[in-house]
Amino acid sequence: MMGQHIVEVEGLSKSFVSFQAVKHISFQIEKGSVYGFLGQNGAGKSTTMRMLLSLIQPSSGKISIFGKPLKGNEKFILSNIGAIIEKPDTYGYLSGYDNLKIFSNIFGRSTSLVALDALLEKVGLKGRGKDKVKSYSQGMKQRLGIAIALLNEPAFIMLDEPTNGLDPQGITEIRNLIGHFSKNEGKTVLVSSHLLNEIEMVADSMIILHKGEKVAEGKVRKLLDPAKTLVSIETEDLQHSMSLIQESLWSKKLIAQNELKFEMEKEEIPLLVKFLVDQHVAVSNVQSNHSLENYFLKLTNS
Amino acid sequence: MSMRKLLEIELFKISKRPRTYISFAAISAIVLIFQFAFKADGENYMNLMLQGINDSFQLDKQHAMNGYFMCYIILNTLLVQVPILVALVAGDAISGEANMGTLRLILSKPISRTEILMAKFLASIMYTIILLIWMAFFSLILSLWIFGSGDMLVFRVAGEVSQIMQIAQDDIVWRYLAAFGYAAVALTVIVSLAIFFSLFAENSIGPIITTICIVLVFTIVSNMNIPVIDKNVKPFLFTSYLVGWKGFFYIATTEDGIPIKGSMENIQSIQSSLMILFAHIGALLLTSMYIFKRKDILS
Repeated sequence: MMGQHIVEVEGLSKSFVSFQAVKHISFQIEKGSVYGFLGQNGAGKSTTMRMLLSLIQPSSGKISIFGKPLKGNEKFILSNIGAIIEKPDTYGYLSGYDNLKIFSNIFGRSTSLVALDALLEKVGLKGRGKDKVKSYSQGMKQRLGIAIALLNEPAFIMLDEPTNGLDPQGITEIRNLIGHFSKNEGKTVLVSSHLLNEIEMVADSMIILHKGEKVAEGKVRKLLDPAKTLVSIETEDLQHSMSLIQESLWSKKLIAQNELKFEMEKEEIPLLVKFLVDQHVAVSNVQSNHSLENYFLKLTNS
Repeated sequence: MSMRKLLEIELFKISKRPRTYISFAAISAIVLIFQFAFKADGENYMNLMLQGINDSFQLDKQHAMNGYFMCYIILNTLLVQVPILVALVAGDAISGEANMGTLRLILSKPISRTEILMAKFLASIMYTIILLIWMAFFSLILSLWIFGSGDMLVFRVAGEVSQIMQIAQDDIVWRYLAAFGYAAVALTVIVSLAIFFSLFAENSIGPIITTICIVLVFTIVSNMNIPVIDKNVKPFLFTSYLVGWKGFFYIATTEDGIPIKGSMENIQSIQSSLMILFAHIGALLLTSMYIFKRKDILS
């Protein structure tokens, strides 16, 4: 449903002089959901997020946010977005308060110490507002970045690798904060990571990017469904086996052209093997893996 | 968000950076050294300047070396270096933000790139003006307090002719105001140039050094006295017009050589120099806006 989508991206591409960073990707983000961007470094996550913020001009494609095309509506759209892209860089030579004041002024929000203290408390920086940001730890900088992203009470929050450089406690706190935004405040969150388990823990839906291309998209629960399994079968006569499979209902589960590779529910594996044996095919090896995890590992190890 | 608020933010950021104060400290130090040196040994300097014309021109050297004269000498020396100090701040305008990673943070807020560039440009101009006021205070007000006032002598070398002009005490202050105004315009060219280079870099050293190098090379060429360069190169170098402020002190004279109060020898030259400087500012600013609006922010 169009009205339920905070973000709609269609055929988005970005080419730089020597390479194509994003290749014709499309996705939609549902209102109130946590949407994950998963991919290795250089997969195109940050480039895509930068395009959503008008920091980078797309080479082609359409971006609509809050039901309006991004081009021409930048001021309205950016007024309702809070974002941290890559590192949460702020003015190190200024205090936490001064940083917040600068961005409060940009949004025309209150710069009273009470309001700023409330925000600092929300992100776990209570009592550190007067300190210069250069004295902050990485985790504190991340929290200040989130505080700045929240200044305008955005309906849509974008967090690029928000747990990078954080200790385990910091990672848990950020995860909880993301959950809080979505569940308690009804905000839509786009979060990127190169770690599958990070996305798995916070996101409702996700997209996997690899070398600028979308390789998978959907509900996290569905994509990570433990019942969905990738099955590889080796037989004595591949050609004969393949033709048997092609003529059967098992062809619907086949995911490769010249290999016996299937995606199916775990319970179906013995039935497939039985089918082949009944057809007098000598099955020499059967391997099964969790499909998405395996696929992602394969990508990240490449 | 209003431009005024944005300008306040930029000025606040400039005021909080230690490098901002290097220029003020440098100017104070140079001017104070000058004043000390002239107080201690100014007569030798005057003798050197008046060599060869002492016989034909009787001067009260003690009175000639007054605050107005001192300020003129200081400005002659300092206005070559001030562009370097201005480049320190203006060259950092965009590249400094890119280096800190705050450029993407600002640009992801609901402010247009044109507004950001204009705010940075105006903030750099205000910094330049404050720097000039500081310089005026030290070089003029302090010099008047130390050396006293009086008629002002202006030494001028035009080709092979040396000239001394005398400006009456009550005809000087407006010339200084005009000269500082002109210097503000000239330095705004440096601001525009430094901001322009600042767009292409992700740390401020590159644009600052590039601007300084251009100013130095162009200044050297502008000071060459070679006919072919005079005609074909100098008119196209903005540095040829940076010292146009001196024109306010070149007083017109009657046929008998008597200075005409309130006059300037060649007001058209000052006007055309100002036009050329404004054209440089406009061209650099518009080009910067065009580039910045289309720039992919990758820092």
